Amino acid sequence: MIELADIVWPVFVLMAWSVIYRPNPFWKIIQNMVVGLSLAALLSAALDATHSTLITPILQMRLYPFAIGLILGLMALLSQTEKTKPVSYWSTSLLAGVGTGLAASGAVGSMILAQAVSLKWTGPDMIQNINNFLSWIVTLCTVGYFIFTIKRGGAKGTLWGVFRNLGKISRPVFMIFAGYSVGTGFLTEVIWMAGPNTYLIKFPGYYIVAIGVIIVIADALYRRSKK
Amino acid sequence: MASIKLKEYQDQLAALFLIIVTITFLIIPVKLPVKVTDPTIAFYDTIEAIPAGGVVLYEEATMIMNWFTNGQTSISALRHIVERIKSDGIKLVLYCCFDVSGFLGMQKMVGSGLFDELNYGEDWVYLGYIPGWETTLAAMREDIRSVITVDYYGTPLDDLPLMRGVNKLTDFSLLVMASNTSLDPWMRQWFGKGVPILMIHGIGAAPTLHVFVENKQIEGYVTPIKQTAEYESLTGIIGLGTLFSSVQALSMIYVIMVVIAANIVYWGRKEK
Repeated sequence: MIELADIVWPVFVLMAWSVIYRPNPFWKIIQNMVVGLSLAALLSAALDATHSTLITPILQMRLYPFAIGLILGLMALLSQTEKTKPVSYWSTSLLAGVGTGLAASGAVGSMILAQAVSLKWTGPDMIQNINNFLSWIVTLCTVGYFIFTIKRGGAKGTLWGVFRNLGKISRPVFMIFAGYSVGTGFLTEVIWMAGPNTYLIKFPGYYIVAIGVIIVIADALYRRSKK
Repeated sequence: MASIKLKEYQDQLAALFLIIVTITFLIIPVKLPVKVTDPTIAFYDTIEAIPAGGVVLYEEATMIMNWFTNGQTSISALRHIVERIKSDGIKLVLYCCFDVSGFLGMQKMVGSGLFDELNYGEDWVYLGYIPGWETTLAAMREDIRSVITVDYYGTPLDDLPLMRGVNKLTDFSLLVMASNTSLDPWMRQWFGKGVPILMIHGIGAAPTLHVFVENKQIEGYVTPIKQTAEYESLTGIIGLGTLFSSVQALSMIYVIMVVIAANIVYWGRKEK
């Protein structure tokens, strides 16, 4: 039995790929559909979440802390008029403050203390020693880059000069990691592209591909005859 | 004239050939050798080590756009967990507090029939989307019922057998985070509670994840495609990760050829 999704997905994929041939109405339709469908999904999920995490607990008479969430949410809606806009900042500020406090307190243990470990250069594994030594150098250089090149030319003095020069070493390190990010990003993007193609190679996707190919050939011949 | 046209359509042709190459290797899969790496083994072993009756808290925050990359990794991990639920009676609590895109990814996963053979409420529970991200993570650490009182289907948590006696992070035997956004909030709010942590994330996050493993902050991690293929070879449940791994590796031959050719053409045109 053919499900609607078996037809819809290949059609959507072909509509997106059609821009490779030339900009066309199918491409424009799918562009607008992606925006429209995303907004619809966002609204639907937001309503669902409001119902399960706010309305239901309040209906169960669990006013604390859920009523506070409702009040803050309603306050945020006051941003829609100029006169009441300043009140909406209160809920935003409160949430930003709470969020920053939580993040800062969590970061101390997990991202500073837990990672402040001493890496040895004299272990039995020579490759690991070299790795650890490189970690030291790169950490120092990166700290040097961010702290001691705050202003153009860096701070004056011999000691700061040493760190300033360490900062220079960190630039190629940044480049290496930028290259790593681009490379791995591209590896992922190949699958972003290959993944949807799985809809085209199974029934009824390949019939839809055939129809797409016929449309492209017909359009190419028509445009050629018009020239 | 022909060369002018070729120049005009060179980008489209490069993209079209890449599509054709990937489709070719999707239709004719090539089995490549898989060398299983340490983080993958650690990830697998940690799931295998969950004691019978232990509960797994699984945050599925993979954005829907990454369905074919991180999404397939998550499916592999969930299949493994489902197998352990069937064989050893471990339990699963699934939710998302990151954003709506993550929630849509999770919805697709739930709708894909992964949990059809399990008893809802006893083997697994679906909490759905709980907004708030890090503030929600922090609240759930101490009191899950302070952020949500009903599951996705509207059933009160206390009416679900699995959720009785489960209300904070330390009530779980394992925490799993699947995401492709910043992994810092999970690390900030989950680490240090004595509960093992596993992470599924994009390939770009591998250096960060490796540091977490080295410092024993997490037990292991799996990234999409290649490492997912490794993981699938360990579980024996072969999915799209294995297929995509060979497609990715073989497509790179074409990509490298295009990069070399593009450079030669570029410098040739510059000379003229």
